[in-house]
Amino acid sequence: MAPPSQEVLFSLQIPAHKSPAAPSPGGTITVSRLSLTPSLPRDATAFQSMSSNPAHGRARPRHGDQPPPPPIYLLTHHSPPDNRLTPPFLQTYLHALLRLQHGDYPYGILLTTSSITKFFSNGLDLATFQPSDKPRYLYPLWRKLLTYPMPTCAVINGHGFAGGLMLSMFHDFRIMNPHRGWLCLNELEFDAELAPAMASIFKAKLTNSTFRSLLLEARRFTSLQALEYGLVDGLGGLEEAVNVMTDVEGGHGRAGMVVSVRGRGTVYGKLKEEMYKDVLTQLEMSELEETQIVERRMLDRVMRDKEEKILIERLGGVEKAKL
Amino acid sequence: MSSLPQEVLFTLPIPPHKSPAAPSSGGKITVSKLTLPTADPSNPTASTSMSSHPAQGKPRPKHGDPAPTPPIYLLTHHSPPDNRLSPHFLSTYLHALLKLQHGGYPYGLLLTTSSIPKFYSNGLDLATFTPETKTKYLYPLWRKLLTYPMPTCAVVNGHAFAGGLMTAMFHDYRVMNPHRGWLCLNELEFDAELQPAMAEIFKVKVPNAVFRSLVLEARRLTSLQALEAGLVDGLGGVEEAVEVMTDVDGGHGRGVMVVGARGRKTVYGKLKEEIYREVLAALDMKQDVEDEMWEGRRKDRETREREEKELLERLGREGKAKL
Repeated sequence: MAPPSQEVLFSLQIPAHKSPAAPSPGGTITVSRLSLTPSLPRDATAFQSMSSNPAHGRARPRHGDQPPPPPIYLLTHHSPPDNRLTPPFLQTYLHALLRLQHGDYPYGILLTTSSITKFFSNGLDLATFQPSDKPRYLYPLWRKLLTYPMPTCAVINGHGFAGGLMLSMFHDFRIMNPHRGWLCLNELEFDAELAPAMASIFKAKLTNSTFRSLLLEARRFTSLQALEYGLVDGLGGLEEAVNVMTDVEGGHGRAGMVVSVRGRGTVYGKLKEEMYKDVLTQLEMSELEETQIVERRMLDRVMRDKEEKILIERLGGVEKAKL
Repeated sequence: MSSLPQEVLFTLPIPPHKSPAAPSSGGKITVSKLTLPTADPSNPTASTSMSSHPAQGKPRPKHGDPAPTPPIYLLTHHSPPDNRLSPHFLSTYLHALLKLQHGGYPYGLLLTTSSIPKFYSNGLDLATFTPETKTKYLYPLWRKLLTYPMPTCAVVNGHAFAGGLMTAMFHDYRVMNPHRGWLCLNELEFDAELQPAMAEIFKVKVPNAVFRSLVLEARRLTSLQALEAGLVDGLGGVEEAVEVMTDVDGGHGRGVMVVGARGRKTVYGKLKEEIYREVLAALDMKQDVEDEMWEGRRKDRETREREEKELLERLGREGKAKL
C-alpha cells in the first residue's frame, strides 16, 4: 500500500522544558487526517462483506451498499530528544485530543505515533517530576485517552519505557514496530514504587503472569515478545495500523465503522467508562488521597517490620527454651 | 531430591500435631544456600548477556562484567505424613521466612520444596481447622509469601491439594515435577466453601476458565495440564527451577539479578503489595467483617429462596388462571 497522504488539521506547540536530566527545546503535536489511496481493493470488500459466516450464505452489507471507510486521524507527537511526559507535553497532548473531539470533525479512528524514530516515549522526567503533576497533567490525559469516544491505536515506532509504555496502554489498541524498540517497566531497577493508577491499567489489560514479567523482572520486551504476551495487538507501522483498524472481518475495523456512522451520539467512550471503571477510580483519586494511601502503606510496613522482629525473637526464644 | 550442594543455614523443628484425621509426629523446616556449579569461563553465563535485542548489537552486562548470580536459598519443609498446613507447620514456615528476611542474609532467590516425595502439601487439616488457624497462622504465612522481598519459586515435587496448591500459588513462580503429582482444589468434594482470600489469589493469577475447572470440577491437573493452564511456569525439579529463575534472557532471572544487586533497598516486595492489593485486602479482612459477610450471604440466600418459592407459586397460579 502506498503511504497514506496526510492533510494537517492543526498543529500545537509544546513549550520548552527545563531539566537537569531531560531538557527539551520544545516540540509540536500535529493532528492530520489520512486519505487512503483509492486503489486499495481491501477497503471496498472489507466494508461490503460484513458477515462471512458460511452458514449465512451470501455476504450482507450493513448500512447500505459499501459504507465509506471512517475518517482516520493521526496524532504525531514530537518532543525531542525522547518525548518525555513533561507537563508541557502532557497538556499539549490533551489539548490536541480535546480539539479533535469537540472541534466538529467527523468521528472515526485515532492513530497516534511519534516522529522521533528511536522513541515512542521514554516516560516521565523524574528529575523535575512533582507528585502534583500526576493529578494535574498525567492522569487527566490518561483519563481522556482511556475514555476517548473514538477507537485509539498507538503506533509504537520505537522505545516505550515506563510512562511511555503506560501511555500506549491507555489506548484501545497497539501496533508495534517489528524492527526496533523495547517495551519495559523499569521501576524495579531504580527502586521506584508503582502508583495504583499506573498498576491498574496493566491489571485491567494484561494477564498477571505478563504483568509479573514486566514489573517484577523489569523485562525488556522485543516486538515479537510483546505480541506473544499480548502487550500489543500487531506488528508494523502506520500502514499496518491502518489495515488492522479498518479491516472489519479479520481486524478491529468494526469499531471505527460503527463509531463513524454513529458520530457524536456514539456510546463508544461510555462503554469504556464501564469496562475500565476500576482504572478510572484510581485515576480520579486526588493527590491527597493517593498520598494518604502510600503513607498508610508505608506506616503499615514499618509496623509489620517491628512486629516481625518481635515475633522472631519470641519464636527463637521458645525454641531455645526447648533445647 | 536436589543433587546441588547445599550449605544448611538453619533448621527449625515443627512440633507434633494431634489430630483424629491427620496427626503428625512433627518435622522440620530447613533453609539452605545452594552452590551452583561454577560457570565455564569460555562460555559466558546467561547473567552477562542482559540484552539480546538484535537492533542493539552485542549484549551488555548490567552491573560489572560478569555480574555474579545472587544467592539461591532453598527452604525444604518436612512434616510427615503429608505436609498438612497445621498451626505448627504454618508458624514454623513463617518463622523460617522471617529469619531469612531479617537475619542479615544477602537477598537473592528463594526456592521452596518438600522432602516428602509424594506430597508438596495435602492442604489444611480440616478436622482441627478453626477460624483462629486461619487468621493467626494461615493468612500471615500467605501474606508474607505474597509480599516477600525476594523472588519466590515453589518447586512442586508432588501432590498439591487445596491449601497446598494455594500455598504454591502465593509464590511468585512455580515449577512442577513432570513425573508425579496432581494439582487440585477439592472443596467441591467435601462441601467446603471457598474463602475470599483463597478465591482472590486464583482470580488474579489464572484465567476464569482454569479457575472454573479447578473449583467447579475439582479437576486434577497433571504437570503438563498445569503448564498448559498457566498454573505453573515450568516443569522440573530444583535444578530446572534454578535454571529458569537465573536465566536472564529466556527465563525469569532478571528480577533475581536486580534484587541481588539492590539487596535490602529493593522495592521488590513493595511492588508486589501494589500488584496484589486486592488479595492483600482479602487476607487482611478482619474476622468480624468476614463473619458479617458470610452471615449476610446466608441470610440473602434464605430470603431469595423464600421469594423464589413464592414467585413459583404465583406464576403457577397465574398460569392456571389463564387456562
